[in-house]
Amino acid sequence: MNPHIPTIRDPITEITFWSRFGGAFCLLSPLLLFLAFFYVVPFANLIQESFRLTSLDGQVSDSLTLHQYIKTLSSSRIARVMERTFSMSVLTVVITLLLSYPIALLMIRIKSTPRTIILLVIFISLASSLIVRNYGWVVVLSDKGALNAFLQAIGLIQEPLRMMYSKVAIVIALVHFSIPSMVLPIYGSLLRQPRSLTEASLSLGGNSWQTFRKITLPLSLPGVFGGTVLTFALSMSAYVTPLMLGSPSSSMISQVAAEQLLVQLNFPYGSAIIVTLTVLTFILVAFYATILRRVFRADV
Amino acid sequence: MKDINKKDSAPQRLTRRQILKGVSAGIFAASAPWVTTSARAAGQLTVILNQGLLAKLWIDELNPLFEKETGAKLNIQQSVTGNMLAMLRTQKDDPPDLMQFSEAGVFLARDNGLLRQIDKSKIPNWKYMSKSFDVADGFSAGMIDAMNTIFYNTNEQKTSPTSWAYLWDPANKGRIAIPPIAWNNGVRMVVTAAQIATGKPLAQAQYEIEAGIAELAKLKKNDVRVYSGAPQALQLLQSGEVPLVPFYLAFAAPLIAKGAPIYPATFLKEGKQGEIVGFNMPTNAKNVELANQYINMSLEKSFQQKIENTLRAQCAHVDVVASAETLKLIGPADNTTYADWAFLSKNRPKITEMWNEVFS
Amino acid sequence: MQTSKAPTKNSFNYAVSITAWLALIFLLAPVLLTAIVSFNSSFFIEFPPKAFSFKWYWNIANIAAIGQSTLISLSIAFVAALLCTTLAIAAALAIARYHFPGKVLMTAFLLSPITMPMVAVGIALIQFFILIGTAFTWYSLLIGHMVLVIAYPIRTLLASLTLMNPSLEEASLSLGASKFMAFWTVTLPQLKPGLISGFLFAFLISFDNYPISVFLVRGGLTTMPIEIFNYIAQNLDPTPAAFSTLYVIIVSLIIAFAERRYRIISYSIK
Repeated sequence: MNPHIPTIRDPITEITFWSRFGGAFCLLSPLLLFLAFFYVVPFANLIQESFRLTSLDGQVSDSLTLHQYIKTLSSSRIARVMERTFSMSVLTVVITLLLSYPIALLMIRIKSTPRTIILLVIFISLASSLIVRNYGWVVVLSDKGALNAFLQAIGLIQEPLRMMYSKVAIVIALVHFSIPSMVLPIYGSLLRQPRSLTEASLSLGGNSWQTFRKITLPLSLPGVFGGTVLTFALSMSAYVTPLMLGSPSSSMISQVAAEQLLVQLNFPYGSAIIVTLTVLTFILVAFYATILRRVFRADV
Repeated sequence: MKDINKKDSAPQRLTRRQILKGVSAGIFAASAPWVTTSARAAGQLTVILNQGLLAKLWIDELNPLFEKETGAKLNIQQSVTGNMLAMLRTQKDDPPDLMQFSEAGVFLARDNGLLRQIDKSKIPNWKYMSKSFDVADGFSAGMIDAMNTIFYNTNEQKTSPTSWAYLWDPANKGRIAIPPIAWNNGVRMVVTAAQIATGKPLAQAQYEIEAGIAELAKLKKNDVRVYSGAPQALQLLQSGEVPLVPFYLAFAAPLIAKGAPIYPATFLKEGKQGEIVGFNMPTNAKNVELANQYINMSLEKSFQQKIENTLRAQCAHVDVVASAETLKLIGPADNTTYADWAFLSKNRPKITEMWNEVFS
Repeated sequence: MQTSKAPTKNSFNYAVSITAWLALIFLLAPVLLTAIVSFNSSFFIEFPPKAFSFKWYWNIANIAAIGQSTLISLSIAFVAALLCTTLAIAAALAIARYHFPGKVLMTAFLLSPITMPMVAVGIALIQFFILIGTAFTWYSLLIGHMVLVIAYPIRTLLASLTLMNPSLEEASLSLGASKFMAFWTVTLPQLKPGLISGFLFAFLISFDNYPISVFLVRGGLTTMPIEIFNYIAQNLDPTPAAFSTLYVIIVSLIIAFAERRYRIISYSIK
């Protein structure tokens, strides 16, 4: 109450910002400095670059403009490529999920040694070069490749199936690429579920499918969410896979942006396209998370 | 405490050793940039070659000779004209020493100040170069006339096509392919389509870009496939899956020699497409002397003979006459047409965007 | 770890098992078939293989700039992984041990580079480097790769730290060890699985990267994936198959060794 009485600052017990967070600050600052300079600043530069004009746009001015974004959003080609990228990504996520979840369930049920072997296979897949894995699909899907040779050998088809350099090849390769990063989060999620829950459900008269649908699956949604989001983000931004296995008619949005940058040398336009992709992916993921939370009451 | 440490002690020693190894490896690794940049000082030549079998001839036949004779190290990269132009623009301050691209890019590059005139006096073999290969007044050292025509699979297509319009024939649905717009013959497809659409000869039709794109779009009704690289084009052609593929003779000739069932159309009503490919020297390129030597060795009669023999193309050297075998594949010389690349390359971004709208 | 006894044999479980095994075959098929092609003497990719030959393995040496690009890739990957793991230890410690406002946001930010489109990172960085005048150098390529892989060691180390029992460290502190000594002799060895797996993944992801490298390189500065990619784009022969097989074998050996020695997989799954 009396403003003239000075507060006593006891250096032993006083808790300042520095004493509380000083350690964390020192530990984090090298990394933060690095990221600030080489991650935040370049991206900020990318964003401001997307608001500029070049001589390729006909008019040159130094002021910031929405021209590139208007061009991106009104281009029918960009819309077409975006829609194609989106549908291929969704397809990839669905197929990957349908293949990965059973693998995770299998890993839960089998003995330790086969499980470690499967885990090794998954980790090796994860660590193998993307170019190596895509080339593997060139070997399998070529007109004289393994799949066609097999189908023709068993008499299922007469003429080779045209699979390479198409959306089919891209989706197959993307699924193959995404399975490891989908299996691991789901597996982790399943591990955390106590066995007693499933046992209780089965003993109460539920069959395996009902137990799965009502107990296992809902509890595993955080893992499913993690896996699907990662797969979706990686597919939406895919660059090497469509480059190796696709054709101009199956191009994906990262290719379009890269082409603007590397060939057309239209930096602002390329930047605008990539910013649009990033923002769009972010919005879609947030929307997806909201649906899972509200509709399925998942803990994501 | 001691027992726990006992189990850890062996790996712990290894950890320290690994750290030391890591540090020394790190120091070595950190010296790597010096390893790569210091090599530049001692006689090195950076050459960007074109694609596929064309570049392979230089890589297999000329490069070993060059390295042996000059003692310099060759730094080879491969690219297409479109990307090379972009490379020229972004690397203005530190460009490669030589770039092998066709007239499709030379005019634009020259007019933008990206190329320097080659000093003919330093290249003794220049006097043996045919006039038509001296592109843009000495701004390009022409080496080979890369001819583009419709290739057909001799098993699936019994008669040679006699017109580019054959690709539009509804009977050929699912049997045709076209090059990507990134390739120069992709741009020539637009020109050819313009010829067909307007009925005008090449000299006038090549300026009608919109008409060309519209006509080319009609190929979609024929389920046209756009190939994205030489291996794919050759695969489609050889297997017979797509028996009609516009392609460069220089890329395919070695395979014809190996007996592949493919053959070029030697006469096309609208004209086969010629394209002079040569070596171009970027402004600010550093190793001019070595570059001159490289050009000189490429113009050597013995090597030019190999161009004629292996790639089955018209080469620059006046004394190397096209052999009967080559003439059979090239067809009549007056059927080979050349386009106004000054105009086409200036409008290439626009043409690319329009093509992408249709095909991508 | 909770695992169930053998499940009842009903159609649902049967379907799950079949799908799982088929999916695993799907995962392995390309690698195995590529290995088969690599030993086939034929110039084109074709099945079934006709004759056995090692020649495509010898032909790997003919891939343009393969020696130089592999050296560059190795040095970049090693240094990037080393530096990132070091930075990551500090950051992971800060996040795991301290509670500060905005911790969740900070963690999300530090892990965000993984979710960025690689093309975006490449485009942003090359424009930035051109701006500050250090484009197309080994160091700028290193920085690009560090941004790419930093999230991996952070993730594995965070997992390791949260699983770790801090009481050992506290005990050593109470016995008189300095903070650094306690960290170096007690905490760090326990973090080994997280360290090794973080380093390994940072190394492998950096070594394999194409989209970021392709924007940041030119001329003599090139990486192995770029040269392999160019070779595949220009040639029909199965040399890349030989290369792929070699690559997978080496990676498998490294991972199997790391799992045997440091149990990286078992620890990171808990």
